[in-house]
Amino acid sequence: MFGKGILKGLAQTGKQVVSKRLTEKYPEEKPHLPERWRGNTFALEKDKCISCGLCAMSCPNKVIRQKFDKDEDGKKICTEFVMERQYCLFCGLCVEACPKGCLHLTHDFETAVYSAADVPQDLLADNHLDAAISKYGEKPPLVKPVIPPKPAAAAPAAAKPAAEDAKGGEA
Amino acid sequence: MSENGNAYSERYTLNLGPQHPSTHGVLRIVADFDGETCISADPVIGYLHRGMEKLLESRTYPQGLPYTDRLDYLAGVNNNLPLALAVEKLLGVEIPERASLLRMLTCEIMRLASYMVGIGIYIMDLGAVSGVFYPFQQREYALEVMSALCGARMTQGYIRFGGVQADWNDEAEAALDVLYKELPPFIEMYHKLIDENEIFLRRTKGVGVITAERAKSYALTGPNLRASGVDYDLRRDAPYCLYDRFTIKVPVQQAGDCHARYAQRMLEVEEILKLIKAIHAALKETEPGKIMGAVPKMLRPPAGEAYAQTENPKGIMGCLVASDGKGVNPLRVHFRRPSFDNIAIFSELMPGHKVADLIAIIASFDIVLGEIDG
Amino acid sequence: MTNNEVKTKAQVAAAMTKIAGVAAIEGTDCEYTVEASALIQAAEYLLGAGYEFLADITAVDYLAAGHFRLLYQIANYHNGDIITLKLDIPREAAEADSLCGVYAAANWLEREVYDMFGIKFAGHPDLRRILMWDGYEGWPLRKDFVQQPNKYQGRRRLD
Repeated sequence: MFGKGILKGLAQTGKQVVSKRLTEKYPEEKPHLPERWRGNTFALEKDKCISCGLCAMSCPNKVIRQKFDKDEDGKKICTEFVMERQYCLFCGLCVEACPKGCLHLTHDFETAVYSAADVPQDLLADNHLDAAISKYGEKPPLVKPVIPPKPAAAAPAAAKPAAEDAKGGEA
Repeated sequence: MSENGNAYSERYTLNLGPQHPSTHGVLRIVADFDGETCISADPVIGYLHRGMEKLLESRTYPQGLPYTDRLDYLAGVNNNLPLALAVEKLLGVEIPERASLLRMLTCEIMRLASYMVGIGIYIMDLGAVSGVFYPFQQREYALEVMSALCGARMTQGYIRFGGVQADWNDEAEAALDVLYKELPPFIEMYHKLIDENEIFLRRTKGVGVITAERAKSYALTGPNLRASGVDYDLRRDAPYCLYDRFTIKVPVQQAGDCHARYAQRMLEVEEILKLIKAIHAALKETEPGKIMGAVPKMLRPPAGEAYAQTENPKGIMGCLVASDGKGVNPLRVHFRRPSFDNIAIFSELMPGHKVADLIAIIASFDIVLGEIDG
Repeated sequence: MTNNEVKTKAQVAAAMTKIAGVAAIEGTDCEYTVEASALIQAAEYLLGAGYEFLADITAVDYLAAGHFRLLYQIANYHNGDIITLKLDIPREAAEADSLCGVYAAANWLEREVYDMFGIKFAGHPDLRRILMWDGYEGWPLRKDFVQQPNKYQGRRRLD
């Protein structure tokens, strides 16, 4: 019978009509975001930032605009830290490049603004740490190998791992 | 009416213009028609040309990786891989086993996602719009795995020089289990939906026939080549990463027409699922943690040229990297894009077909314009 | 084509070095430098030896050394052997023979090299720009191509 294949196909779509809907009813139901999900905004832990500029150097698109200065003690501080999000690929290379792990991406995606001037994010004005921080780019904790102390020099060797453990805890 | 009673047919030029819902992107085909039969076709590309090769010459090697995702944007990680393999060839660095397995697993998952788009959009271009929603739901399950693993659904930037960016985690494991559960019933349902549909068969059987000899001369690759009877798949015949550890069954069709290209992709979807399960099982046997090889912070590969090829969802993608030995930027990066070579055959294939057949031919090739234009 | 019709790299090396103008590159078993006059002969030999897959034609601009290097990656449909042909041409007279008579894939690949570098291929049936539009001035991938901000070649807004 001509049309048998079409009817067989219609039976399949018919089954779909009566089966459970898979549509997420946004905005009443928010989507489930995995913990490593990369969103549209950044967060900066200002007190951990050492103003090294590695994040800006690793960015493919020159998204990060930074200015540095020396404060009273001669230490390097950051006087301007703006993420030009209109150029950003949200690749996360900056988050991974940070040696202190103080730059983060967040889970924000509802970031539409009314003016183009609001798109660049000034992280010194608002470090945005109240947002849901993404676990993207988190380095796994360093596991120091336990070296058994040599039997002859047991006393100084026992003191050394204790000092190294203290350094490992800070990093 | 002419003297013998037949209708006149007019010769005209039709612009299947860059703005078109069925050209898979901004592809333009300038075709001359006699009535409804095509007499010449000339694809015009470059509407999505972003100068990626020139751009990569002014970025360092790691900065260039996120750009490569945008070539075949439907399968992000698959494009990082040839660049990574070519640079690692120049550097001579060894990749840890777990990193290789993760690369293969993510590439196969995104291959599945890309095939879902290819098949779904093919059916939609022929007019059966309901045939696009079900593959896209399966694509959602695949993208959930990538989202749980590296935080991004489409352009992941997951593969790095020396390994991968992040290790497998529990959320990705749970998302992969969902994919295992949902994909087999979908495949069965989709076969029942499309395979015997008379309209589909009338529109695709015998349309756009490519013989094996023409396919080889035009350097067709991927499912388009295998649908024309040439049994060649880089994962089995020229294994890279750790593909030589797995038995990869490669289906081949002989007809070379649009229907064969559809049947080929549906058969390959089942093989991809088997391969994902095998790679996942092998991944679980390796120890977690070692996902990066010993690669210096500032990559300065020694002078030379290296070319690496991988089997991408659209065909064989190759990457040529030329380094001058001194700088942190590459001297030249060139991508051999499969869709670019695939559509060169259009000017020979399309004449003789009707207007609607042109759409069927373009759709059956599963092209992506990001890749064609670079 | 059955497997025993594809010559091995060693057999190819033995035959290729006999062609005048083709020299094997030391340290590799599948890379050859070709002179411009030997290109078509080498390609025809490779096609007959079972290497039917013209994977890639591309060029590298060695500005400091003053020449372009054309790279041909020719593979086969059975295993992973890729024969690389390297052809150096001077920047002032950037021309080479077209492989369109040997491989049909060379058509679009050579058009892309012409569009990006300005290298002309003698014998190409339809040598015109492919990625940039007809009428674009300049060869973008050359190292001395500078994007001049005042000389924007697109359509200009009139406001």
